[in-house]
Amino acid sequence: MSIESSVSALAQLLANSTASPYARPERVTPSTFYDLDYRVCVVAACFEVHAKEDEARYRRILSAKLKLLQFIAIRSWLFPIVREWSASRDDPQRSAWSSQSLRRGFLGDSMHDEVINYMVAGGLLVKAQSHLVDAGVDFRLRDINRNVVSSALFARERKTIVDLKNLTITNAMLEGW
Amino acid sequence: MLTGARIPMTLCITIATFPTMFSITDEYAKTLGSLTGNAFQAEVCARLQSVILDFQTIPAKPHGDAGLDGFSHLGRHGYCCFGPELSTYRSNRSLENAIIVKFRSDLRKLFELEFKKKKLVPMPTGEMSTILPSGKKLIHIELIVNWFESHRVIGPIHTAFAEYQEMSEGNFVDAEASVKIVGPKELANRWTVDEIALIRAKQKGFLKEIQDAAASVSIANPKDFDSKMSILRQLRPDQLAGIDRLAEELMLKWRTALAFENSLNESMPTLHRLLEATRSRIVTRVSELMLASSQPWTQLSAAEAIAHSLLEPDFGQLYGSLVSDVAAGEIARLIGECPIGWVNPGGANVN
Repeated sequence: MSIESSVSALAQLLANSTASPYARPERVTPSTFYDLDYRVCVVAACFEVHAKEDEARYRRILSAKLKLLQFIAIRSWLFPIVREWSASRDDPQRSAWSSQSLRRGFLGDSMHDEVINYMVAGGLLVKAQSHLVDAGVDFRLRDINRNVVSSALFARERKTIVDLKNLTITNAMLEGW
Repeated sequence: MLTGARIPMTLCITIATFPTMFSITDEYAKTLGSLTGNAFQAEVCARLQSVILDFQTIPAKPHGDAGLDGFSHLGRHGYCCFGPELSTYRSNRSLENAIIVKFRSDLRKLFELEFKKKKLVPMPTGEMSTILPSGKKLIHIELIVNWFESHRVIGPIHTAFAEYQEMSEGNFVDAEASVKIVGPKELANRWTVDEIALIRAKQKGFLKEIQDAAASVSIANPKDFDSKMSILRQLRPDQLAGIDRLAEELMLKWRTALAFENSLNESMPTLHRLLEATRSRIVTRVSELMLASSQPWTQLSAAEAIAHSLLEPDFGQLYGSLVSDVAAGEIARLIGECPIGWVNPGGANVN
């Protein structure tokens, strides 16, 4: 049976039967990757685990690092690839054999850029050159993460975020090399 | 002092750049080595076209390519490609033999020789005269292969080349011509590899990767799909074997669509987002047509074409023929994930 004919063959079988059709477009499940609440929670969890305090005791994180961390957190099956990528950073021979395209994937995550813009507009984060800083308003960013933890949500993502803490992430990696 | 400050900066740039260039070259060689058949030949030709100004590809029609896949240097350099499907060879020895046999055969065509009763005899075909510029002869031939991990292919091919050179009437290959075997690493290292070359090669391998990935994708809960097929079996008990085949086929398409989606999600999230939006448009269009029609199943038949027309503008240029598979997979997915379905008015419906 050819590729093109399978749907046609099905249509023909149904046409010659008493089958009654239905169509429920509302049953298309949108991908969670584009769920704003989910993405905000993941960013908050990444920030909580990986942000560091600066001299003025503001918690901050490199924007590019946050982008990489959240990308892997919501695609936890990529963690072994990042671990290999990190481990091979001083060994060009070893580095050559890990996937290059996967290294660049996170750079094109435009949804994340929009989530960050949303969080900045909402007063959760402040952009400070190459960093993102916790705006510190009423501990809202912390509260989001606290709610996620207390509700035991996104366990897999949170575990990946913690595991990422054990990896060295270099500037070259943040540029996709 | 200024000079002293400059030297470390230069060194710093060199050290930072070297691993990157090294990686791309090796990645390209690896990708080239993973391509087979026409995909390998197409990539080799694209590569040579991008670095050799007068590289000329040779279509196999109307009567074969006479063993030559391309030429350059005004018809003085010739190129033959071979991209065997590596996984089909049980041992390196059988792969070596396949490479030797294939290139010997190509060389015999170039030298216009044939075996007659196990004896090598000149056999002009006329095809070479329609390929090379008038009066030109090849003075160098490159045999480009996707696997060159054994030196055992070198001796037999060079020996055959010398033998053919002696036997040939020398119409299209010069008596002093040379031959060289080139593998993926040699080709990758010969000229600078850039990201464009890497992406082009990867796209050629993408189709195979998706097909391989589709075989291992598991659909977590296909019970809605299964129940629809059960209803179909109730409705058409005369077509049980056909329905089983159809169900299997649709599941494979569905898995292909999922593998494609996963791949985009991991490496090209922007395109993944486009796919997500396109999927939504597909279900809306197909549903509208089915619900508005007095012959809904005719519309389902057109669903694949609708999906294809919606996917083509964003994905056609990059993924070519894969778009057809994904279009069919998206329709199978709509059936499997429930937006499109059917009930048996006179029977028990699982769904």
